[in-house]
Amino acid sequence: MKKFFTKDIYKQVMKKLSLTALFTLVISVMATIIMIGEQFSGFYGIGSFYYRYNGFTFIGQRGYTAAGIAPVLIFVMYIAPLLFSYLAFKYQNKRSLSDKQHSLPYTMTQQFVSRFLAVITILWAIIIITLITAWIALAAKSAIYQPSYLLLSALGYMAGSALIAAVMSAAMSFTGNLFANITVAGVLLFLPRTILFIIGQSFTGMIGNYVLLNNTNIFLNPASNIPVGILLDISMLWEYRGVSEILTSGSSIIYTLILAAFYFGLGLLLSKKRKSELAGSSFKGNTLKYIFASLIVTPIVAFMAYSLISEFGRSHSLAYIEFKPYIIILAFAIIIFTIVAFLFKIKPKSLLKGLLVFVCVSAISSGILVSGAAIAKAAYLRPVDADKVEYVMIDLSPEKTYRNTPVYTYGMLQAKGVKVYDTELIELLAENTRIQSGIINGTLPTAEYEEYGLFNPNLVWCEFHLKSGRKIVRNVMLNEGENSLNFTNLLLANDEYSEALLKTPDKDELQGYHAGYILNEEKQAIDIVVSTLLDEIKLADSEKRNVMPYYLDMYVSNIYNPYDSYGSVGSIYVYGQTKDGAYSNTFQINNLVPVSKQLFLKSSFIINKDAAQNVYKMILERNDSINYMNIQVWLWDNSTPDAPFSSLIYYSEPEERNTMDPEDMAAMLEAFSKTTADEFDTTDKYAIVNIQINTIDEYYDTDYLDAYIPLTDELYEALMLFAEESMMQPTLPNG
Amino acid sequence: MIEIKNAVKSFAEYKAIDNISCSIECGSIFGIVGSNGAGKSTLLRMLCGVYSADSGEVMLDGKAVYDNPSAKEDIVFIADTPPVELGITLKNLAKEYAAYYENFDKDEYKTLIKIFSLDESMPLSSYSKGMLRQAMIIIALCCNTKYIVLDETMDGLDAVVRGLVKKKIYARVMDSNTTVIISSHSLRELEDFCDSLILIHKGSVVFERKLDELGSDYVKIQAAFKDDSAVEILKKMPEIIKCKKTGTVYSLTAKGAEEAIVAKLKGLNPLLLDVVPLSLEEIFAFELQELGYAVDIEEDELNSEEK
Repeated sequence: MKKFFTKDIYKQVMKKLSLTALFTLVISVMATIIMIGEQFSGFYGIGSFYYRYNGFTFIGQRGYTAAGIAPVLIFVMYIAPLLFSYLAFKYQNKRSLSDKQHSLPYTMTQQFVSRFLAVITILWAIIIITLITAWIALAAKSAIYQPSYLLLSALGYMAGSALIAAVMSAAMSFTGNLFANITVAGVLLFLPRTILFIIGQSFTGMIGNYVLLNNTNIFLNPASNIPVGILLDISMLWEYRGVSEILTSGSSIIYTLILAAFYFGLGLLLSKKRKSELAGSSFKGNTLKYIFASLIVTPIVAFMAYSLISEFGRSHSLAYIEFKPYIIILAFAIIIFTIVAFLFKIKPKSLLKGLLVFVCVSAISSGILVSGAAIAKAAYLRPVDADKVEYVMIDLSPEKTYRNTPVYTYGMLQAKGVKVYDTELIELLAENTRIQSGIINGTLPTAEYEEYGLFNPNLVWCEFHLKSGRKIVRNVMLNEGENSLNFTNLLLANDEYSEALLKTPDKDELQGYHAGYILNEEKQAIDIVVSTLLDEIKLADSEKRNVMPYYLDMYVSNIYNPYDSYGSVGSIYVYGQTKDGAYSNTFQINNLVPVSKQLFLKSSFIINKDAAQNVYKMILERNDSINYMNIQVWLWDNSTPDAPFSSLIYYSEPEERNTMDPEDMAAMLEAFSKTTADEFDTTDKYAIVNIQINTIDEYYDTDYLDAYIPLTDELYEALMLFAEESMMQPTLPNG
Repeated sequence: MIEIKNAVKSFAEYKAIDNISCSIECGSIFGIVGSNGAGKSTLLRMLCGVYSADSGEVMLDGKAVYDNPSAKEDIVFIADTPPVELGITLKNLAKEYAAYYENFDKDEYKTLIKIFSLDESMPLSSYSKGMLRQAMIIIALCCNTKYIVLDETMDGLDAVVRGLVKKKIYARVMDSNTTVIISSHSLRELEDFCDSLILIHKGSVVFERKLDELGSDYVKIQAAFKDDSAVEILKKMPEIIKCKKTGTVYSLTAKGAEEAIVAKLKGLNPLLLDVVPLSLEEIFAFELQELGYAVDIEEDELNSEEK
């Protein structure tokens, strides 16, 4: 250990960086406390909420994401390692300081390791102390968050900061001025990932997102490199599931730490060979200057070469290629190269030699990119061999790259963990991968392509687990019609899968829910309705539970339709998070859940009773002050499942196409005003009443009423005399 | 003992040290002199392990110096440009060196800063050039290493301080058998200070001598003659390399054995004949002139009279 590390240098560096470290720590801690105190986390507020938005009352709690607990640490992860590494190694940029350090009784290895460890100590201390502070603040606020986020995000930040520190230290170990330090650090950090990213982009995102980058391997997946992955995600060059997922991914943390170790090793090796006389110069010798000036423009040149080759591959003739853009890009790259080379202080007369270096570096990097893309394409765009598959896990969420908005139902989250061994299903999916990869590679016969058709395909995310132990993840495309139907039938015939699809969350698990505006802001009423509904759904058998994934609507006969024969009067929307992801469900309040339905109807009646009475009074006792009035009443006979609800009573002033005269309308409202909530217990019939009323005194103020009214058989029969068939569908009070 | 054997050091195409060999005995003060760009600083840095030799050896007590902590802990290097970091005080610098050199004498440090009247809590960046040099010398002395290497550190010191420094260095050399290697442009400083001297020119050693042996090849004589006829004879004497006439007195510089030259001049029946000591500057100038280095010397009567 003594051979590599000396506490003398370590302590001296810690001392020198202490003030800057303390300043950084104070800012980090204070920013965290303020953000948690203000319940700020990213763009959305945090904490309990109960508010009306767009006609809906939301109740719930928005919890902290991993990155939202201490978002200031994202900035710390990028800036602090650059700053502290520079401060620890900046002696290498000044001749007098460099000579002094080289004269001291320590090896270059001891210098490098001790300084690097001092930087890491400071970085990790800032991260840990900040997160401990966050933990205390979260506890004081009784905030909602996953406790594991604290540890995982700490590891993520520590890995990311270690990588950036290692890159900067390695860069400074063989450069001698600030411009070269930063340039080389940038090349070391970004260039490899840029090449891998371009390779990845060459075969992903095609035809239904057949393969996504984050389902390739640890090298191609941008999320593996935490700092670069986060930047790619934020910049939207690559759509992932957000900063938190990258930060807390175990494989990303390990990969990033290994990468940091690699750069640390590189820096150690280079520092052993470093000469003190390099201080103040960019590089030793002109060749390195030209190499790094070339590497800066490598992404442009390599991508250009790749595009050119791809275009040639498509057209098979140079005559069809438009070269002008390529020439312009190449000229631009050469200009940048020249400027950077001069900034590295090359001798102008050696520029010609430098251009030779530029050509060599560009050729090598283009070769790496093109061959890498070819190899990756061949590997990842192959069809799946059904004979090699042991089982498949199917994720029905259609959107794999959409951020923030949950696209799973609770059941879909549960179902995606089910292992499906059905060989017929596996063969169907594998056959579709053959077609899909054939389309992407351009090898599918034209006749087969035309027969298959790509209009409105469905996408199914499949994890094929091979008998060899390997896993292949593909977004399998199913064309519309028989193919999709066969798939659905086979899938739903799998008891375990279909049972999982129908699972529902407990109320305690939810992060938020709403139950339509008809319940207004009555939190207690909403809570009771939601609890009752969720419990009732769990007790109902699978045939009665109406929770099919929405996207299967396209080709499944069991359509998810609020206006179906089950007599829906409204719905609740719930959402939450499991370890597998975020979910949301909409559950209909209908005849399949009679207790909840009764509760909902009665609650809405009670809540809106006073408002309803006011409206009735306004209409019945009016003194010609009404400017505009519109009454629509849908009559609903719930005793007959197939009874249409297209019986509509319509009344308006000024008159439009009224189905009853004013006296009958008044009598109807009188009758409505005398109904009670308990009548819902004894009748299967009710009216959905929409009233809009606008008075002369308050011309721009319109009163609305949406209500359910219980109807006795007599009242129902009496009102039916005034009802007519209507093509209009009722706007249910839940919006 | 420091031994340098056939050391070569280049920076890109420029050869700064060209096959230098020399040895430095323990317990002595060793001077390195040379013209600008001769390679003095480069040589000193190679001694301290700051630079590695491209070829050849630099050994300290039998150990290679470069990247060797066990050799470097016996040597402290003070550069011509002191390494001053922003905001650092002498006190902090002393603490830093105390951490690096385990024999650092804190009491000696306190004594020396009092003697030299330096404010240790002031930032070094606010010190004058001379004060900075004093500070670095104090640090070097307090490190208590076997070898102290000073690169033009004495330059810029006033006469009083210079005297104090020399006294302290003498005491250290005598008491602790420390070896001090010092480079300077001021030959007058080294003249009465060093035990041995090395003259470097264009990366090579011109000569390496003990100081009491220096100048033995040259002799300076002041003579006066009855008439100017002696000048013709002087012109024919190959040993005379310089002649300056002030009134009737000739200042002659000759290369060769003193007795023989004096005997020859006595043969010219001078009215006055005195042997005077040569300064190190004069010896230095003559040696470099012989090497073809342009040296600004006084008008030569012999040359002006077409010797």
